[in-house]
Amino acid sequence: MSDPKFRVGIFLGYAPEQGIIDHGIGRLLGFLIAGVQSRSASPEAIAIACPGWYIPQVRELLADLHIPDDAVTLVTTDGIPYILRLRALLRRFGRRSTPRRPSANRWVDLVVGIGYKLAEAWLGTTSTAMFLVLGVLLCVAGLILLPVLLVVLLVSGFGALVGNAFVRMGTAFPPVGRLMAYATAPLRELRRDKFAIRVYESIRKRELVRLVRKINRGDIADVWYCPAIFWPEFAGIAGPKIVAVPDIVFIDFPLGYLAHSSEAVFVKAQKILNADTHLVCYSDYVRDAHLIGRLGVSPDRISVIRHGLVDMQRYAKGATPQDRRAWAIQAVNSYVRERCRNQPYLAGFDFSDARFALFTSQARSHKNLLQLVRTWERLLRRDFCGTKLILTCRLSDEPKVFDYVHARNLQQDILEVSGVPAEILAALNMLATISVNPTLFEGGFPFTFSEAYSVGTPSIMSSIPAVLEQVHDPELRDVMLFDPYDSESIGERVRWALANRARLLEIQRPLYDELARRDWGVVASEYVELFSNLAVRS
Amino acid sequence: MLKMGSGFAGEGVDVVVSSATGDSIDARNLRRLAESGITVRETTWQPVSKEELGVAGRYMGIQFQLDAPTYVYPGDGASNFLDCDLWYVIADRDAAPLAPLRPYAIYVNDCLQRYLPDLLAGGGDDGFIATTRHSAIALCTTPFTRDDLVQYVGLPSRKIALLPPSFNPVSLPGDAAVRGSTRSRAYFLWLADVLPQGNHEIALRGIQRYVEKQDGKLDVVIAGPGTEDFDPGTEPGEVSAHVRRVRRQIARSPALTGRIRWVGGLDHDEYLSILGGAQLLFHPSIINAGTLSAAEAAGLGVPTLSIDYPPMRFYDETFGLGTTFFDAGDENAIATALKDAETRLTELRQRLPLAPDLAKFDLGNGARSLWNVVRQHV
Repeated sequence: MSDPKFRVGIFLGYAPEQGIIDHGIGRLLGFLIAGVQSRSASPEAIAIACPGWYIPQVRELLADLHIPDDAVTLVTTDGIPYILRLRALLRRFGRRSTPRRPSANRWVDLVVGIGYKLAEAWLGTTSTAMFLVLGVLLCVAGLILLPVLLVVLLVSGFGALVGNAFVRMGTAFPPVGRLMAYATAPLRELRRDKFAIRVYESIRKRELVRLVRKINRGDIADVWYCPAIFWPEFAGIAGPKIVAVPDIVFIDFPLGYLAHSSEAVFVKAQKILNADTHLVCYSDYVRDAHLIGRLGVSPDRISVIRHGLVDMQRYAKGATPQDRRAWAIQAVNSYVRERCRNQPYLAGFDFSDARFALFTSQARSHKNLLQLVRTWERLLRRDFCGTKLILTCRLSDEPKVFDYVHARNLQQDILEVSGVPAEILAALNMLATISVNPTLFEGGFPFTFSEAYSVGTPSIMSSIPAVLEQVHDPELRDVMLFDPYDSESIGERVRWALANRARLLEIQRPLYDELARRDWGVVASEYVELFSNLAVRS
Repeated sequence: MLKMGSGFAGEGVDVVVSSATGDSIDARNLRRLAESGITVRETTWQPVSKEELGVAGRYMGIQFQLDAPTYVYPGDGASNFLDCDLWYVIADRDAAPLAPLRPYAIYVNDCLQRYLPDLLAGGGDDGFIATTRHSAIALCTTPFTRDDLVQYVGLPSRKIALLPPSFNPVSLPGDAAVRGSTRSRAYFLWLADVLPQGNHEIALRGIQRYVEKQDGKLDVVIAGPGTEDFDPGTEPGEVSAHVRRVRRQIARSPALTGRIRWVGGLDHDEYLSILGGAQLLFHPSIINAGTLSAAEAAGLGVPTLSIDYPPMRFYDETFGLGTTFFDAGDENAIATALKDAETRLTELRQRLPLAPDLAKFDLGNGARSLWNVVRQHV
């Protein structure tokens, strides 16, 4: 590094509520932050700029990556737009309204209880004098309370009438219900709603422009880095800028992304790619096929920096392999018991001796999930492999896959364990018999390989360009790669890998060792070198 | 088995059998139970809510861990089996889990619903899974089912006991009249049921090909409760769509109608007689927990021709049956396997285990193993 006090700014423009701890990008940022910090003498080596609404997610990410809050300078917009504050308030209110019912019941129970006790005292007495006195007293009390009771009855009757009117209006006037949904539903449920997207886009744009202005007013970083292509406002930052381009997946799979929202992302990507930015991708394929070949980006604007090794071992606890396995079992069992209470099958499942294959990814159409679940059904019901498949994506994000799994009653063998923190991801990888990755496309060599191997689990994966760039040995290709378009090819590799786990692990050792030479310190050095060169040029 | 096993251990326990109302135990079994000192109680399964069960638990001084809204318990009109120290449950796919009013061991024959999702068409599998998960111990007799208990039910291995398979080594009854009824022509025996997993359509196409293309010489005797409904020459009344399809398939083929004989459900002696008279036992079901009839057939000198799936592999290895396996989904393979077996019958019989080898797996052996496991939870 030419400047020992080099400072890097990371720009995050994600939507509120969008967690990234279970995304590859979150883990990449973690390694990058650690790498830069270890190479810079500046106490403010890393700054993260994000809208005010995203602070909780940044803190969650830092905590998940075991990075202290004070190790990073946070730059955010002042305050949160009122529309989001009101929405948060309504959501909180919505959540609280249900539990109030029992307290109302408690009042009713109290009144009934008092009435019962009074009646019991009056009618239970054997003394005529006491019976008469209490009777008179109760009549007097009743006369006094009668107006109060009448008022209560009138008010509650009027309340019921108004309530019913609202209910009728709600059914006859759908937009009211829709507006309530905008206010109370999680944002991810609205991500295909055009109106919600339009509102959010305008808010996002305004906030990111404010954020960029704030960045430009201060002397925060020497180079800015944006890990995604969705935020064209990033181009407004003065000074050297780098944009990570994991891939432009729409180019290879145009029919998988026909929604208007996907096209909008593509338009935004083109804006940021055409701006005065330097681009980093993770494989030669994305550079050559996507950026140069399809989008005509000048080669001198592009650097290829491959991923480093993802070492999940650092999350594992225990001195011996047996201890670490015991830790993983306990971690996964506790996690599903506590976090999956609404899924009794999963919550009560004991992973102590279970065999499963793991596919860690988001649900995207190019991840080839439908092919994988169809293959898994055959493996289970035709070949009796017995092994479960665990997916870390949200199946509901891919309705075709979700429907298939439920129509075929596979939901107890193809399990969804989504949104898991890094520690649980490490434990799942450790317990898995194999890691399987049937993706049709990746912008770089899949993280899934080193995530699994670092905790002792071998992988099988698709034979795709980003994988072939890394796996050269023909014998290794034969044993660990399959044709992702061919269910029989996937099934054949899965069967072999399940039966030959130890051998696969042994064969993959040289590949892992080669990847291990490229740890995230090395990757971070390459980024810092690039940052430094860009700063000097500017 | 429990009575026998505890007797062998010198710990003879009282055993009470629950017989669900409407399920009649046949006279022979009732007699056998009575001779063993086992009483039978008519039982109606009763629903009980989580809250009610909580009340019962407080009376009993037990805090139950209850997750389901409703449970069931065996109502006998008196103590509801609470006078028992342990319940021994044969697993079924009930909608609601068993109320954990007593510690219980559960015997799981198979988890077919994992492989045949249509079995769950009427609802989920929550009751079976919850009941099995809360058992003190789950018992099974094949490694395949043990694996399903780990992989499907989600039990740790320590809560599962794999018992050795056992059966009652049989000998042929002396009733020559019964034997003669099916021995006029050489035949193979197919012990079937009427459910789709019986693989009837593909198996019948295989048999048709065996007769028409491979010049197969053996007749087919199909036995099993309800299987006479498949006979196109009968009036079956109301039957399933699957049975109607199979009837049409058979009716269209002279090769099948000319070769198949229907004997329906059999009592024990008839079963032994027909099994003992067969040249082969034919077992083409898609998947089940395996059939111990293969071991009984071996004891009677009859080789088995079976589809290739894990429980039958296990029985073949355990008993040394010398089973011939074929692919259940391939009618050509079925036809070829039948013809091949027909021409190599002598060789196949020579591969069968000897009587002393089979005797090691008698019920006494199984009873000892069962009691050894169960007694730890009484």
